[in-house]
Amino acid sequence: MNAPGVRSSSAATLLSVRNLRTEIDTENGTVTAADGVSLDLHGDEVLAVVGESGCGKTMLALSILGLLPRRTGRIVDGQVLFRGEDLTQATPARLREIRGAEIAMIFQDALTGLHPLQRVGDQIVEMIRAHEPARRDAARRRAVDLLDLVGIPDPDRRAESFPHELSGGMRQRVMIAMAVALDPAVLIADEPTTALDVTVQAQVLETLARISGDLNGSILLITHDFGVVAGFADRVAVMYAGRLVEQGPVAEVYGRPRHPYTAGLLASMPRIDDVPGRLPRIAGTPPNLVSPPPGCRFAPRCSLAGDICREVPPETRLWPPDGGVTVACHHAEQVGAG
Amino acid sequence: MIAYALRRLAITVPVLVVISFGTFWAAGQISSPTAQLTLNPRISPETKQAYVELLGLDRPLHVQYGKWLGNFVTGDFGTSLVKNGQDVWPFVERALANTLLLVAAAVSLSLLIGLAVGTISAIRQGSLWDYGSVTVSFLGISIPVFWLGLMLQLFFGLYLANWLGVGPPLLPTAGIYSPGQQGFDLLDRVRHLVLPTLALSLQLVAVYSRYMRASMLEVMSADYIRTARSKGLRESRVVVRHGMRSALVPVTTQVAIDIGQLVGGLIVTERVFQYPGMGLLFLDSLEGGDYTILLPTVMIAAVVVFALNLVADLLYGVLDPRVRLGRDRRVARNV
Repeated sequence: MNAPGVRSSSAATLLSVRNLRTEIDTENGTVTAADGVSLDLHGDEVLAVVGESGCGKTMLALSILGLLPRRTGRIVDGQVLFRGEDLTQATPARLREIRGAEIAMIFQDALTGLHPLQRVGDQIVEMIRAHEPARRDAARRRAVDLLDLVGIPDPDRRAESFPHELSGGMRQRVMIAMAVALDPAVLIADEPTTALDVTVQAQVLETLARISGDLNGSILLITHDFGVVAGFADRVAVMYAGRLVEQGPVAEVYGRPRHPYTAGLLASMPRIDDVPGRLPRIAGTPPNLVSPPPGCRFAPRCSLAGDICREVPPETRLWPPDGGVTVACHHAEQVGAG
Repeated sequence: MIAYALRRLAITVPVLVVISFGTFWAAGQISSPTAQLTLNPRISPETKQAYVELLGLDRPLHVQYGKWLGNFVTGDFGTSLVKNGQDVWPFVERALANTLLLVAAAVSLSLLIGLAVGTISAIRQGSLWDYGSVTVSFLGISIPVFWLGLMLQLFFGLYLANWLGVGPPLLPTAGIYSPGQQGFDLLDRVRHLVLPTLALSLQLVAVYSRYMRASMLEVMSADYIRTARSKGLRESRVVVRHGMRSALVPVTTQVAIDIGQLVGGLIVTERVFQYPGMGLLFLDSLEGGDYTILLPTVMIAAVVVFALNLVADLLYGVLDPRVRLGRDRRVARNV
């Protein structure tokens, strides 16, 4: 599908975020929600962006499709290259073509994310007919099939339901069915299971994993849950205070974190084979993004931080140089070394 | 839904009884049916007494009320005390038809303009249009109807024609037909409807556009609007099918509830434009001391307002599936 002559960083790179800076106006001032974020999503892979609440991961996701809050959010710098085409420069009409059909999105809370006054079947039909000249009854049959695909029992009848008549898990499945309706190349899932009960989370994740296996697309998974990442993603990008601090294959990053923040997060996870006791935690709280610290944003909470960390933002670099992991830390060599 | 409608209807009945009794009592206080007889020196006390007994005016109030209510409910509106014993119903019927036409014209025009203005204000929040419409709205809410009516009469009935140097006034300023008009004439009727409709509409446009703006602002920041955009829908579809569809639910209810508040403006408008509707009939019968016409006028107005409120409630259920009420999922609403 790559247009000839269009340069992209890798032939298999589907979506490439380049040095993205996104600002959001808040009551307390303008926040740089994403500050120089770069990441690549390759074909047929699941890339997870993990970080705690407020680190900017949702705004990163919304930036990709130009869905930032209209009055308060804006992309101030950088590119979002989809198959080499910069979406930040795309016309509204071109963006509309891509939204839903090429890059689809699953939102966190399906109760507020689905239209409360529209039958769920109609919401899927609308998605199909926005991009294809499908007849209403044909689109409707496809919608029912999609509901069946995501594991909704009695899909023919359920298509007639309103969102409030479905359980949380069912609603999220409807969201998934709608998002995959047009077999998009990229699926952005923003905390798809956060609003659900733990047992339902597992079922919905399983559905998402199964569907993504059936489809040819890639998934950009936004989550704060390292456990979800471990079971689901191929690669992981760790975000802290608007910046990516570490990016690489899940096994590599989990096996040997290069960034003190990643290391701290992993250390604070309960392990099934661990001796009971208090879990270690990362001291302090994330910085205020209205006026973030000048150097490394993690420096105020970091035990390895020196003068350079407080003054100079670390470059993102490969470490070790021959590995597949990039990290933004002045002291990556020392992390986990003792 | 039907059960809910019946329940609502059942609640309405006692309220109507209270209103009718209050009106009945008040009407008896402000005008005496025997005043005409007392003033007439040629009528003897015996004749007067016979008349009082004939009308049942010597009976206790609740008995009189019961008799009147029975007649009213069965559609027997009786004869007028003042208008030489003519039947009351034809007066009320004509007035009701005229008023309903005026209200329908004013409300439809106001909805059309108000909803559009409010929607555009909301999706262009903070724009010149938005500030402009806010300013005009406040003007519209602040201007009293009687003054606006007089200004409209002066402008369209006098000044405009003078400035343009044309002879007759552009629009008639009173009544529903030109003098001498025989029978029905659509154009003449509509021309007479224009100014009262405008007078009644300015405030409504102002209020409706405020409702719609507030409602749209809330809806357009909802998550499902973002979802709609993420589906690649056209912005017009996002605004109309997803935004307005939701925003109209509370607005519709509010509009129907507000119909009751229209009554005051209606009375003033009809008086200013000598528009022969319920408002004018109410004033005439009040001033003429004709409680036989006053009572049904007030009662019918009350019934219509209640009926519209009921319609508003049922409409809420039609527009919002979450309010399709079962016994256990009832949403508390003001009656």
